[in-house]
Amino acid sequence: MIDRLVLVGISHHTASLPVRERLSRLGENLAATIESIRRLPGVAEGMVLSTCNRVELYGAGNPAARAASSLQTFVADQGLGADGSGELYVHQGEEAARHLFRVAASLDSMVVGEPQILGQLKDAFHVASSVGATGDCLHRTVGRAFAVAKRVRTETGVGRNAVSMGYAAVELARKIFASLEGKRVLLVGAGEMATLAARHLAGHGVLALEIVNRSEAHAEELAAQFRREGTGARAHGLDRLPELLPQVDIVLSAAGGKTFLITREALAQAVKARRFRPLFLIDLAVPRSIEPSSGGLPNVYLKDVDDIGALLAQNSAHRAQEAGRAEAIIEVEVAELARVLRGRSATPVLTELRRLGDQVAQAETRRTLAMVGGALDDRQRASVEAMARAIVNKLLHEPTTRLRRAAESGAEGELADVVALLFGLPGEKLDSPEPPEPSGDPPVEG
Amino acid sequence: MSHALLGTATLAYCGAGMGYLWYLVHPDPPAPRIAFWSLAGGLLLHALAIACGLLDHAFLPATNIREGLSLLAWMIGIAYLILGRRLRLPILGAFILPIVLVIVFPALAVPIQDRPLTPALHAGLLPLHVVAAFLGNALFALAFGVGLVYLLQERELKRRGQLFAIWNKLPSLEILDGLNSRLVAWGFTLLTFAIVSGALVAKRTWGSAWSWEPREALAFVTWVLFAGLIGARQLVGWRGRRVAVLTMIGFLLVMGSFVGLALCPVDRHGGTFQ
Repeated sequence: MIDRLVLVGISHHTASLPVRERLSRLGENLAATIESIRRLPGVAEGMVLSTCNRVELYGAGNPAARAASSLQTFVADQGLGADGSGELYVHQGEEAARHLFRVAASLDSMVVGEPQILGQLKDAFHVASSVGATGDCLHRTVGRAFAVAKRVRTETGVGRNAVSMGYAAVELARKIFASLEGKRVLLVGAGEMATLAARHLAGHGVLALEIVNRSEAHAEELAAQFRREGTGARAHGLDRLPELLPQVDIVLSAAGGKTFLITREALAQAVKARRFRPLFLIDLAVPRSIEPSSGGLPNVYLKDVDDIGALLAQNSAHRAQEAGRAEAIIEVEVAELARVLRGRSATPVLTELRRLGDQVAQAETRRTLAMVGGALDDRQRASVEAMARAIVNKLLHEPTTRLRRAAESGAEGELADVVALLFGLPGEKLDSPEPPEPSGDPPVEG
Repeated sequence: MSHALLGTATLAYCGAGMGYLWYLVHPDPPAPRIAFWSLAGGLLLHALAIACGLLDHAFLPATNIREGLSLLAWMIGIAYLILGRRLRLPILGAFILPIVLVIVFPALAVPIQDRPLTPALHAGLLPLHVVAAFLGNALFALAFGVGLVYLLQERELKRRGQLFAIWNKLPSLEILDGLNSRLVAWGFTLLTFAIVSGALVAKRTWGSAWSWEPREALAFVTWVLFAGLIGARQLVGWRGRRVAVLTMIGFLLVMGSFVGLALCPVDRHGGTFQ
């Protein structure tokens, strides 16, 4: 059954931003998009995953190639344009499952290991199953993808280390302070990078933000913005820097200049004034705004742009290494999913075969009992019924086992057809998709 | 019997130590649990070994260096077991267990040299004096381990450029410093009690409370050091690296008096550990 799985999509790896923007329309009304792809010829199941980095249409159909070309045409009609046709990728079967697993585990993300993608995938699946567009194939595959994402998260270090400047600042701060709650942050300069880092810290419960800037008006503007977001913030002129230093715990500086804004001497005084409580300084300015030798003062921790950069590089190297382990997990899972789905795709033939056997047994029992039944007592009648069932079971045992085994090893296609032909089973049943299972949560394992 | 028990306990400590070290390198959830139970099992066996000694002497088995080291190691283990559990900091085990092993190994190796306890020493306060002294030392040992972690973590956080992966696994500096503060405060309280009760026992036994013999002098130096440390923290706000280093020196003094004086028993503690 895994052969029915189809994926057509674009992502930040393949498509430029304008193309992604054009296709993101598909994500605006997910339910409507799913409805329209379900009406495409050859597409039996459908799901749409649309984020700012990717638009992917998942489907299932038999044969898969037909579903794939339908989906491809559909995407092209959405204004992919001549420039975008090469940016589209099409995967089928195991290839499509592998892609989905990698997406769910955040290995395909722009920032590898970022956790949002799994939530987005869950939403996409929820919408698809609530409009009844998911059948056995998508249910099992996507359900497995959730389990794989969880496995990758717990068994590997993908997603364990910071990969953005703001995260790095938070992570370092957490190793200096017991908690960021109740800490005061001083923002020197109102540059974008420092603001972003400050926002990260604000997200971790810092008590207050002091913003110092050459232009106090600009500082006030930024402070008002932070206040709207729920973080207490005050604006100050640059001249108040020395008196603020002893009051804060974290300094984010992004205001470059010809001389150091914060000197070692000023810091040494601040450290004494604050009774040696730790002070964490991040100098994002180039040229640097905090005297580099200040890092040698007791309980002063100073990081500059290069330090943070090295940390980030180290983290992404670590993530890349862990991603290798994650890929190995995904390979195992894809093979397992294929095995399970193949076993299931033999079920229609097996069910028919079993039904036929039961039918024959019952019919023959009825006929025999109609002729001689009057002469038999209950126990003897039961023996006749049992004999009929036993003969059918014995005869079908070997073909059933072999068919199931062939299915699990991926070679059931022809054999199933032959069985259907030999026993005169209704062959068209094998080609139609199975009725969708009741919508709801997919079978998430583990 | 007690020797065999101690040997088995030491094996369990080795297992626990390896579990904690493994956890330091690979943060796998089962490692600290295995280490914890291995440590707990070791401590139980060790407790039996100590109980054997207790029956032999009809007194706390701390009359020679073997028993002294053994008792100290056991108390460090117990203190860590309780503390590590409460603080949820299994990572500390990787630093504490080696200390336990460093102390317990010589206890296994040193020959047994029983010396009958002077009957006069069976005074009521003596067991309290011994327990307080040992427990205080055990807490200083923990503070030593915490100080070591602090120095490691601070070195990482102060390093320019790339950091070793360990920084992400160790607790934050503030947590470590807070832990040091509490351990030192409790250790100091017990040390003070040990010194006072010891003086009372001495006064009753020998007539003089304090004789400036080397062991007493070292205990006094240690007491002054920790008193100064606590004072500097409270009054001046000393914290962090400086405090961690001084705490470690304090514990080394404790161990120095323990081992050095036991090897040349010239004082009225007579190479014993009451």
